[in-house]
Amino acid sequence: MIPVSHILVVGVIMFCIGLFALLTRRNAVAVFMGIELMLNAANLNFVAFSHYHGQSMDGMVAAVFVIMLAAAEFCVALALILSLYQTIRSVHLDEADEMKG
Amino acid sequence: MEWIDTHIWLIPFMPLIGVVTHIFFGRVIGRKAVGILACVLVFISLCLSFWVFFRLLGMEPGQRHILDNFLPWIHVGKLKVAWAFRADTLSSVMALVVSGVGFLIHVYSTGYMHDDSRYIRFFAYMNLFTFAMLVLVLASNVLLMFIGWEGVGLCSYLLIGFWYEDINNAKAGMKAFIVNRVGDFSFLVGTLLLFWYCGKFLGVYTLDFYEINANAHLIVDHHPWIAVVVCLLFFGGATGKSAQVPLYVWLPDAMAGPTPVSALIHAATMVTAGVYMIARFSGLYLNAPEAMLVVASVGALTAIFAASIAFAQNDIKKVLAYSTVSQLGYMFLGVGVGAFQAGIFHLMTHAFFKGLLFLAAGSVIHGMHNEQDMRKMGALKSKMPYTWITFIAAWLAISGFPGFSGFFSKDEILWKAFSSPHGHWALWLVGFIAAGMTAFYMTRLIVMTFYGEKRWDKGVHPHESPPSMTVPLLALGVPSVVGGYVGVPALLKGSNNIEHWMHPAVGEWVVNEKVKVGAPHGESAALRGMDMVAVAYADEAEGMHEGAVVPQGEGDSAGIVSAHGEVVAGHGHAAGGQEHEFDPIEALLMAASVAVAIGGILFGWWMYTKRRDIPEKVATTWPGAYNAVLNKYYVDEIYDFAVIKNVLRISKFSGLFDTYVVDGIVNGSAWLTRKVANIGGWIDNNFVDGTVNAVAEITRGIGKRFSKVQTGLVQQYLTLAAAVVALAVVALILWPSVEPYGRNILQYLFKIAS
Amino acid sequence: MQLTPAYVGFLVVGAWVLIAALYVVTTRNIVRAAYALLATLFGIAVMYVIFHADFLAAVQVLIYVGGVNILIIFGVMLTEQMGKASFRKVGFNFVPAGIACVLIAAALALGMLVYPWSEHVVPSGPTSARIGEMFMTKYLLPFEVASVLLLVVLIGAVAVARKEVRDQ
Repeated sequence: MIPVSHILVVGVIMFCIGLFALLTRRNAVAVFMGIELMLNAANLNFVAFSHYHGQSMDGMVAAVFVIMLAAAEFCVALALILSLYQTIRSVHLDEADEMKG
Repeated sequence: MEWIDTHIWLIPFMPLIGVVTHIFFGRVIGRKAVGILACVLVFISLCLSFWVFFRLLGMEPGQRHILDNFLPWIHVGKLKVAWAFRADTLSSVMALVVSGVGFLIHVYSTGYMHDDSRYIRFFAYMNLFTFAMLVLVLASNVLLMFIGWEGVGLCSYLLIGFWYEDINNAKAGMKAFIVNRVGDFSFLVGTLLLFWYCGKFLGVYTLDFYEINANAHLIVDHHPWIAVVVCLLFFGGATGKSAQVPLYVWLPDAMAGPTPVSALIHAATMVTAGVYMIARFSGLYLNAPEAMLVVASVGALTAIFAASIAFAQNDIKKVLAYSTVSQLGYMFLGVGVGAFQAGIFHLMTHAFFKGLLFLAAGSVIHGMHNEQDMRKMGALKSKMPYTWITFIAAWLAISGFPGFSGFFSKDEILWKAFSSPHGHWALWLVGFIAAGMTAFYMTRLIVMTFYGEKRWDKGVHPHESPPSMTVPLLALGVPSVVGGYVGVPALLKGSNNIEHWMHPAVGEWVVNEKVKVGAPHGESAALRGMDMVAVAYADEAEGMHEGAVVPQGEGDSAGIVSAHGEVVAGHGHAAGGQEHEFDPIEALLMAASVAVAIGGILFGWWMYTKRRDIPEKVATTWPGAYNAVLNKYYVDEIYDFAVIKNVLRISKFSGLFDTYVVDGIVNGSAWLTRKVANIGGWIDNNFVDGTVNAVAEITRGIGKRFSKVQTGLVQQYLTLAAAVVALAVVALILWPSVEPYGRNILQYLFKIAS
Repeated sequence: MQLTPAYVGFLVVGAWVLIAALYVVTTRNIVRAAYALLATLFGIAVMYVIFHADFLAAVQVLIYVGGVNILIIFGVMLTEQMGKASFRKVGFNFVPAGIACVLIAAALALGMLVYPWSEHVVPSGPTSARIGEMFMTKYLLPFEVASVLLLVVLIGAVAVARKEVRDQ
C-alpha cells in the first residue's frame, strides 16, 4: 500500500520541475517540454487518485482526456513555434520581446 | 406787409451765393463770368437795400423798423437767439453804403485784378466779405452781429495776405487778425457780461439790440458802473476793428493787400463797423456817460495822432491809411459826444471819398506800374485825367472844403463836439486842429502826385486806367461831391434830413435820471425820463415770426418791457423839439472850420509847390522828430518788445512743458505698466508653469519606473504569477485555521480606519 | 509505510522519472533534453502500470511517447540553431523562478500533507472496457467536444504554421 501523499509529492516535484523549465528555459521547445512535464505530473495525480478510489473510472477518463488535450495543445504549440521561427528566425525567447516596456 | 419784409435776409445772402459758386464752380464758369457774377450779386443786394429804404421811407416815422426773423437758431435754457435781420433807419443807411460802395469796388476790381492768377479766389473772398458785412449791419442781436464782426475780420486777413508769396503780406494779414482778435475778446467779454447781468438782475435774457437799449436805464438803477464797464468793453472791440489807439497798428500794414481791398475793407466798410456798433448800442451808451467820454477822447486823440504820422509818410497808401485812422477818430468823436447821427453821416461821406481816394490811388499805382512812393511821382495830371479829376473831388471832400460832402459831416461832428452835453470845447479844439492837419497832408499828397516836375523812374510810362477802373471812380466822385446835401444843418437853412431820418433808431432811448446830462443845446426834450418805455418792436402782426426773440412776458414788475405795440408818444414831442433856433456860436465855429480847411490847403500848396525847401529843412533840422514821425513813433517796435516777445516766450514755455512734463508723465506711466507686466509674466513663466511642469515630471518619473515591469518576456510574467498563485493556495489552505484570528484583525483594522 | 515490492518499485520508478525530468530541465543541449523527456514519459507509463492503469499506460506510450515526443524532436529539428550559442551563462530568471517553484512546491505540499486522504484500494481488473463504457455514457459530451476540438486544432495548426505567401 503506497501512501497517496507520497505519490502526490512525486507529482508535485515533477510539477515544479516542469514549472522551472517553463520559467527558465530560453528555447521555446524546451518551454513546451516543461509544459508536458507539468501535464504528466497532473496525470499522475489523477491516476493515483483513481487507484485509490476504485469503482469509478473518472480519474482515468480524465487522464485520457488530458493526454488527448496535451497532444492537441502541442500541435498548436508546434505550429506557433514554427510561426515564430519564421518570423524572427530564432526560437530564442529573449529575442521575442517586442512587448517590452 | 410786403415781400421784402420777410426777405431782408436776401440782402446778405446774395453775395453768399457768389462765395459758393466761385469756390466750387469758379474754374468751370471762367474768370469773366466770375467777375460779372460777383458784381451782379452785390448789385442785387444794393437794389434790395434800396427797396428796403424806400419801404421804410413810406412808413410812419415811429414805425420804421422791420424785423425779419429768418431762421430760429439757438434756444438753450433762457438764451434764445435767431437769425433775425432788422431793417431800421440806421441799418438801412449802412446797408446802402456797404452794398453801394461795395458794388462799385467790385466793378473796379474786375479791372484792377485782371491779370492776377487768383482772380476767382479774390472775388470769392470779396463776396464773402460783403456777406459778412451785411450780416453785421442788418443783425438784430449781438450774437449775429458778432458773427459778421468775426467774418469781416477773417476776410480782412484773407485779403490782406492775398499775395502770400511775399512773407511780409502774410505777416501783415496775421497782424491784422491778431490785433483784431484782441478787440474781439473785449467785445465778447462785454457781451457775456451784459447778457449775464441783464438776466440776473433785470430778469431779461436777451441779446436783441432794441431790448438791450430799452432796458439799459434799469442797469443804472442797480449798478451804474456795470453799464460803463460793458460800454468800455464793447469800445475795446471797436478799437481793434476800427483801428483806434492803441489797436490801430494793423491798418497801415494792411496796405500790403490789393488796393480794392484797402478801399473796401479798410476805408469804407469794415473799419466802420466799430462806429456802427456804438451807434447801435446808443441806448446803452447814453446811460454810461463816462464811457462816452472815453470814446470821444480816444477818438479825438487818434484823429490828431494819426494825422501827425501822415505828415511824413512817402507811400501814397500809407498816407491814406493814416488818414483813415484819423477820420475814424472823428467818427468816434462824433458818437462819443452823443451825436450818433453825425458820426454815421461822416461814416457815409467818408466811405464815398475815402473809397474814392483809395481807388484813385490804385489807379495811379496801376498806371505807374506798381510804384507807390510819392517821391517818384509827379506831373501826372495830364497823363491820367480821369483819375486826377476824381482825386481832386475826393481831396476837397476830405479837407472839408465847403459845399463838398466832407464839409457837412465833419462840421456837424465838430459842432456837436462843442455843443453836446457830452461834449467839451477841448474835444472841439483837438478836432479842429486835426481838420487843419488833414487838409495839409492831403494837399501834400495831391501836389506830390499830380503836380510839380516828374520824378518818375526810368522806363515808367504812366497811362490812364481802363474804363472798368475809371467808371467806378467817376461813380464815386458824384456822391463825394453831393453826398453831403442830405445833412445840411438848419443853420444853413437845410432840413438835416439824415439826422431826423436816423433819430428813431438812436435817439429815443430812455436815459436814467441819475446819469442824465443836461438838456442839450437846442436838442429835443425827448431825453427826459418817461414813465413808459418806448420799445420799438415790429408789431406781432407785422413781421415777427414764430420764435422771435422776445422775453417771456414778466410784466412791468420786473421792469421789463415787452410792449409789442407802437412807439409811445415820446416821439411826439421829439418831433416837435427838433426845431432849431439860430445859434451864433454854431455859425462862428462853422466859419472857423471853413477857415482852417482852406488855410490848410493853401499852406500845403505853398509848402510843396513854392517852397519845397522848407520840408527838407524841417527834416534835417529836427531829425529826431522827423524820424519819429516817419517811423510812426516806433509804436510797432514798442509793441513787439513789450507784448509780442513775451507772448512768444510763454507759448514756447508751454510747448516745452507739454513735451517734457506732460508727455513725460504719460510715457513714464506706460513704462511702469510695461515693467509690471514683465514681472507678472516672469512670475507666470517660472512659478505657475514650474508647478505644472513639476507635476507632469513626477508623473512621468513614476510611470517610467513602473514601466520597467514590462519586460516583454512572458516567462517573467509567469514567474510572478506562479509566485502569487502559490501564496494564494497557501492562504486558501490555511484560511480555516487562520480565520478567527483574521476576523479579529480585520475588525481591529476597520475600527482604526473609521 | 510498508516496504512492499510495489512501494519499492514505485520509489525506483519515481526516482527514474524525477532524475530524467531534472535532466530535461538542466541540459543545454536541446536534443538531449528531448530524449530525456522521452525517458520521463516512459517512466510515467511504468508508473501507470504500477497503479493498475493498463489502458492508460498504453495510451501514454502511444500518444505521448510515440506522438508528442516525436513532434518535439521534429520541432527541434525544424528549428535547429546550429552555431547559435545561448549567450547567457546563467539564466536571468533562475532565482525568481526558483523561488516561485519552491513556493509552489511548498504550497502544494502543504495542502497535500495536511489533508487526510482516504486510502481505499479496490482490486481492479482490466480497465479498457470500463473506460470505454464511461466514454460512451457519462463522458459522451466531452468526448464529442474533444473530437471537434481535435479537428479544430488540426486545421488551426496547419493554418498557423503554414508559410505566408509573399508577393515579391
